[in-house]
Amino acid sequence: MIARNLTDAVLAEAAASPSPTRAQVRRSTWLAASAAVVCSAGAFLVAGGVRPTGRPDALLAATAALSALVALVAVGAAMTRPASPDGRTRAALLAVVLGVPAALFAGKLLLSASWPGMTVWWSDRVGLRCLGLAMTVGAAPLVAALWSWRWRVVARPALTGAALGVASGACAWLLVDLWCPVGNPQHVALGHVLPLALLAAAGALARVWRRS
Amino acid sequence: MALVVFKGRAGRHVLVQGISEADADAAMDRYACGDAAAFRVVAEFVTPKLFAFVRRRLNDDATAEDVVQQALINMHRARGDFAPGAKLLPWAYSIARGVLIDQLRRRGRERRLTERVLARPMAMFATSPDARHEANEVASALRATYAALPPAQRDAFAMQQTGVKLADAAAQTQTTVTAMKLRLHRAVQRLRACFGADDRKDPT
Repeated sequence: MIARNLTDAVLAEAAASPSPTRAQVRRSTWLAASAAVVCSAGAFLVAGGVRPTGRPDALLAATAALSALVALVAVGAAMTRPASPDGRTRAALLAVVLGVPAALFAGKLLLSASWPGMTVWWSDRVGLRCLGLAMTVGAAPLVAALWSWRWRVVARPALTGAALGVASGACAWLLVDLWCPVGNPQHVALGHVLPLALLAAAGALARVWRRS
Repeated sequence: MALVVFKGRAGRHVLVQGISEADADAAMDRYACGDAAAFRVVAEFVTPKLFAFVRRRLNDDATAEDVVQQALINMHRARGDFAPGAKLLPWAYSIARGVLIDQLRRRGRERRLTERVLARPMAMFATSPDARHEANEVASALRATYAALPPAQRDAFAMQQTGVKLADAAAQTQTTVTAMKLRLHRAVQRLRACFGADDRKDPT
């Protein structure tokens, strides 16, 4: 009685290790998301919060609006439930992983270049402080997303994890952009884009490790 | 309600009460909401389908059953993620496909590792051209014999080569330690025959 034995073995295993129901998953996801927002916002405020530091208000508003829009798109594409049981398509995930950093980088540089003196090199602001803040602020949403997705089945775990990392990094970008006045390309690449790559790598590794 | 035939290990046939797809979808929805009893309906509906799906790709009943069992456990773990109103079968196939891919990758890794282990002594002792030629012949015979081993024996040998304990290997393949020892013994006997050093009769 193989089918019966197999079913009985699985039912015994299921009874021995209960899994969260849909309501519990929903509740824990909201809790994780709320905790991530509190942690990220807390780290941002501890670091000093919004700092215009000589930036025109219009530039600050424009970069913040662009960052918020891209972050919203990234979160929607990477963190919401896809229609297919296999998860997002490879093309959609690649678009997030490659397109979001490119859009944020290009948008920041183009907007900064539209105001005089906003892309100059600051010798005392290489980008390491922005890197640290972005990693700190971006880690919380990534951990929350990975935790909420720990049992979710996806066909492309590494790419999905990378997309989660980039979406977390995009949220961090918004806050770091409000904090950092530097629009120099080298600074933006090191302090703002590199954290997205690092968070993407962390997300990919975590998802692959979770699967193995 | 209809009856379906499910062909299990060793060709035995088991009749399972048929369940309609809509009933199974509703049962999974109830299970996602916490109705523990509904999982039996889900498991009985998807097991024959997943088994047929996996066996077509593995051509090995014992491993196919392991994959289906792991897929069912993954479905249990992920039940909270089953969307309201979603279809059960595409979701179950998606989970089984993931487990199947992992299984195929693991099998590939074990095979490559075992081939390296088998080939190493040949390279170490082959000093002259003649010895190298002979070593290559033995290595080819070993590879051919290893490839021709029954999957259960090959898996037992591969697990032993990768350092898996007999008890763990037996648990993984859902068999007894004695059966694992027997599979391993038979695999080693067949491989030894390639060296021509062991003329004892293969117990199989």
